[in-house]
Amino acid sequence: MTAFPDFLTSVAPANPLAESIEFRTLASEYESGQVVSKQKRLFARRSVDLKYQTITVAEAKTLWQFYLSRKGKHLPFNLFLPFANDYTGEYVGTGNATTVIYNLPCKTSSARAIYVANQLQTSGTDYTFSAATGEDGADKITFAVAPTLGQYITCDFTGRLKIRGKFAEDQMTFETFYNRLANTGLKIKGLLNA
Amino acid sequence: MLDVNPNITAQLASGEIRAFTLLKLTLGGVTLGYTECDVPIAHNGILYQPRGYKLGAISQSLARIVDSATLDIDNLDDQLTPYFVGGNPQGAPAEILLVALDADYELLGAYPDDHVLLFSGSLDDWQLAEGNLSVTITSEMVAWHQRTARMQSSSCSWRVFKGPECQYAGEQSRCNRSYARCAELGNTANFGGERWLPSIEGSTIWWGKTPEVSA
Repeated sequence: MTAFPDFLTSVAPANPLAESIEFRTLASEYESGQVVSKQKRLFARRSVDLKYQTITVAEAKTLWQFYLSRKGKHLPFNLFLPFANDYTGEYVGTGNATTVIYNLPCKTSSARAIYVANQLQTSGTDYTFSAATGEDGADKITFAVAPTLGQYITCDFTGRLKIRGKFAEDQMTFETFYNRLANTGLKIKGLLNA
Repeated sequence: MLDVNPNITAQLASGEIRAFTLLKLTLGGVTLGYTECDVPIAHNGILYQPRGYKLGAISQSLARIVDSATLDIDNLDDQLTPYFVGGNPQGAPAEILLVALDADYELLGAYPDDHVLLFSGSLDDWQLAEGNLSVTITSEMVAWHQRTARMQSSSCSWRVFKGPECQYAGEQSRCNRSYARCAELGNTANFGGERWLPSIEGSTIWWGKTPEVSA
């Protein structure tokens, strides 16, 4: 995986980023008035509109090169949100009885709580934490015993959330790209963090 | 009536449903498990991986149709292509199950009461297009849906007297298809009927060993 170029110090991104969360619920209203809903997704996907308060042409070209390297919306990448926040129940992975190393969906995290099948794990006993040593600089944990098949691993933390995503658009001129960054926002469609 | 875990029934009736289907295919000796859920679901030792698919109509009827289910499976990554193009998927076992998760995302119930079998059968026809695979799963009872190749009768069923099956080469020019006439012609070795059929008409037929006769 490749990381989105981290937010350049000379250009401050809009704070907060326009962040949308999608759960995907199938709802049906019966003739009786009863509304029945079906949860189609266990973990929400986050998409962002990336907008900088000021951005120079040179900086926009750096991001444009990244857009080209991702072949538009073809290849995914990891974007770490610029601001730390509190998050609960974020998806880390699903146990397969073999894997012990998992990337956390964050970096510079603190106040972490790791759960396997909703059971709180003890740091230092059940797992060890390693900062910024995971994929693209994400925080990482190593379990003492691999979580069993199908067990969901989740975490609570305070830190910079990782969003695995793709560019939403496939066809753009540099002028359009620059305009998105400076004015309307560049859409990044979120995928499941894994 | 299908015996369904009451916890699953209760959730389906609750109006807040967290149910997903599981698709299990056994192709070329390899078991593939997929779910339309966004994260993998483990069930009975198999980790069903997320994959886009749309379950079409499941057809069942008391009339003379073959029970079947249709599926459109996303295949842009061509993961399934070798199994279909290079393999021989027809007849491969396929199952579609329904499971429900509780608020903690745990399966409701314990195996084998943790699922509802929606359909079970074997792969029939399939169409592969770019990014999409359409398959029909038919009931295993389809094996019984066969046309009878030949109707058996006590009289000779060869279409042509002196033809390739009859093989009579004598001077006679008349045949009434009976065994008696065939014997007169000395051609019983080529008789094309089942002459003992009338004798078993009305007899009791049973499968397996001779039934016990009650006193």
